Amino acid sequence: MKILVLNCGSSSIKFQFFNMENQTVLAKGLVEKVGLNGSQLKLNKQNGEQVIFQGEIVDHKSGIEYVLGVLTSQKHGCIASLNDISAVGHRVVHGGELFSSSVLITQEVVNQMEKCIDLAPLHNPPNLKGIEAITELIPEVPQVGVFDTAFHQSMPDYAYMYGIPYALYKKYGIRRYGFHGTSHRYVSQRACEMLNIDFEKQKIITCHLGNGSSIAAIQNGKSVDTSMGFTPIEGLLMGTRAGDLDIGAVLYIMEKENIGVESASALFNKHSGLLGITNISSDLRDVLNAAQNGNQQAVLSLKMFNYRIRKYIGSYAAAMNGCDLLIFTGGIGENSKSTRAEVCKDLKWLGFEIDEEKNSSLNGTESVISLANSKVKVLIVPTDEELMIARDTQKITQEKR
Amino acid sequence: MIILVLNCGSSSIKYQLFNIDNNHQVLAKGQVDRIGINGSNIEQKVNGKEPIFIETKIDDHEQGIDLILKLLVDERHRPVLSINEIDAVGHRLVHGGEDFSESVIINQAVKDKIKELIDLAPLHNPANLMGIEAMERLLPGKPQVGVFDTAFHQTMPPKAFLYGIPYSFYKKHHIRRYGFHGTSHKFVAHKACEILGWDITKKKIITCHLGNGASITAVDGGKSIETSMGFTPNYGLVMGTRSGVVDPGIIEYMMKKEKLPLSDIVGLLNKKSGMFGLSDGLSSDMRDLADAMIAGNDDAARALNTYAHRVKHYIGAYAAELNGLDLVVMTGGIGENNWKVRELCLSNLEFLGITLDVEKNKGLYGTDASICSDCSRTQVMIVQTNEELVIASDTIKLLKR
Repeated sequence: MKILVLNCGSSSIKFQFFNMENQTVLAKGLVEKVGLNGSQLKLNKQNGEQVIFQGEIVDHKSGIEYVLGVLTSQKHGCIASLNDISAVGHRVVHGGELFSSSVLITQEVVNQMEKCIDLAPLHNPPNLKGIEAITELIPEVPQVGVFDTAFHQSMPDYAYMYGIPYALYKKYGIRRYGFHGTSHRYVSQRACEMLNIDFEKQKIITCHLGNGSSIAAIQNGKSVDTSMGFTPIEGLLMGTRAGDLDIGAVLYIMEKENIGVESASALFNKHSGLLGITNISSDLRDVLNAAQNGNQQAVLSLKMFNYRIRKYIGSYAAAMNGCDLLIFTGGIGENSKSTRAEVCKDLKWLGFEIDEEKNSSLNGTESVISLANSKVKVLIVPTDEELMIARDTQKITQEKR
Repeated sequence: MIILVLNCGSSSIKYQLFNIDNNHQVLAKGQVDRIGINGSNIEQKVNGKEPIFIETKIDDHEQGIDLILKLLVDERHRPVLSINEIDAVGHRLVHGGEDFSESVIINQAVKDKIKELIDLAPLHNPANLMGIEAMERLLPGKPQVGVFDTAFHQTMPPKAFLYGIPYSFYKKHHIRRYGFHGTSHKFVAHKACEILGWDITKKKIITCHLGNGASITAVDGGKSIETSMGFTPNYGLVMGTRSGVVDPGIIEYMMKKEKLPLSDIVGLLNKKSGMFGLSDGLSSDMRDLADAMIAGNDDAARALNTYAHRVKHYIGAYAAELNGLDLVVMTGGIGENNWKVRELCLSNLEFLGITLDVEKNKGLYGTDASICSDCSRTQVMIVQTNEELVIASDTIKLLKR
């Protein structure tokens, strides 16, 4: 069974093509600048070769058509015909309260997804365009939608409600949704596989730390809390996002700087976080370098970054009344040994004890990095959202038969 | 020595008259209400005597204070024979910004600073200033002392007090976490250690001030290292009518959906939210909600469970940062008197060493007491707060210097 996984953004299309018999990636790549000047398709072949195709790609449909063409091309392709594509899995950002797991896409599902557009006006429309394109291009191939929000739908109401009038939740769906659900689900399940323990019986805290970051509390196989909220701005300090912020401060800034709500939103989404504090970069690697060279703002931003992570770990350990596993993933979580070391420093009282040697030597690899006698096991698990989407797609399309 | 303690709000003045030499005896206490509004009045209570209640026109703070001074020598109560017996006045001041980390004797420079900080506390600092200036005119030559709500929290490190927004907003507009209720947090932390015979400089303490406004503080060795209220008092916990933490992203969404101007959103988040909003308008009063929850009301249960969940988040977060926890203190109107809320907030926290004695806790109110079981690693206490007493004591201390 071969499955194509698509992640359609506003002007990009990421794709991975899996052979599910051995769960290998036959091809992957990226269509950039869809509908813009200089659009191109980058293909990474299984043999490691990268090929770049330039040409006009006016919309998502022509981008996907291009992808399908490349996959079946004699020179660069990996399948003889489009009939070899058994199913297509789509990453969909927002499933609102309508989707608590991955689903086979039907017209009714598409209609429901359209209802969620208001909640993710930037992301859901391109996701839908991808679905529409596949429906037109290869109508007989089943499609599956895998939602970023679905895993967190198991949160209890006391974790997802804000302290605002209940009518606003009923009327507009204003509540915590959380994101990165596919990643939190993948790494928590994978960690239990690695340790050969029952996923349904653990208390797990997963830290997905990348340019966007979130933490989730997973109890008995279900997400019970997560740090991103109604939007991805809430929670941790991120590359350019502010994270937790007093609304009173937001209003004060709007008044003092005489800016409207859209500008304020851009300010807290694009000019805050690590970038806002350091004025150097939104990339943690640059900030780490600057800190090593003695830049005080960089040092400060790292302290803030790590501090917030520690607080959420404490919060979720309290909310679950315990913690068995702590997992680091995402670009930063997998590859920044100093972040992991600083986050776990002085958490011995809560049972977290990291092995400094393992934390360094096993950087970037799937591994256990806590001391043997640490009450809580600490792991690095590189995330693989595309594989998770492919697996869900395989499972759902096979069930359908 | 006789000390008058004043707490001037925007339309009210609370006061207490202390005889410090006689074991801090409260000679009289009372409240001026509805200043500048129809139905303005004053009520004074003296132990063992009929309260005095007068409804009369009170246009401003100076008239209010004048009335207080008259009632203090009223022959029906006569806590003092002449107002000249009053040795000094202590004021509760809300916002000391970054300029005041302890109580001060009020002089022109201090008044100027409080004036400079009006932007940060537009409702409170002007009223506080009116109280000070009225006293200068009515009791000329008597020393006055200011005790700030924010002062105790000035020991927070930058990683705890900064938000993830551009650093220039901190430099330019002083946007940071200040925290409030400092006088109460400090008092109950010290008082609990006194009761337990502990040296506060060696202890890790979390103080929960749960009243109509609510905040939690981490106290390490007697110093505040973080607190849940932020730039404004509408941050952190869910409160009576204040939302506490919300995703900043909801502002834009609410403005668009409800077509409300920003000022209405602010009003909504401060006055129609919190427990009142979460319970779908049932009540903002915890006693009503606790009774309703016990009787099986779902709206009350949702609101109280959300409230308790937030409290647990903060307890866990601060236990992580303290890397240990010796004591949790419950105080404030709700913390002292509502056993059901205490039970919801403190049960299932054994992982943090907290084992509540459910029976001991039940029905307990209006007393200082330990409410954990004998096996609890972390001590849990109810301590009645007394901010007025702290203000009186600080006033004496500064005068003796």
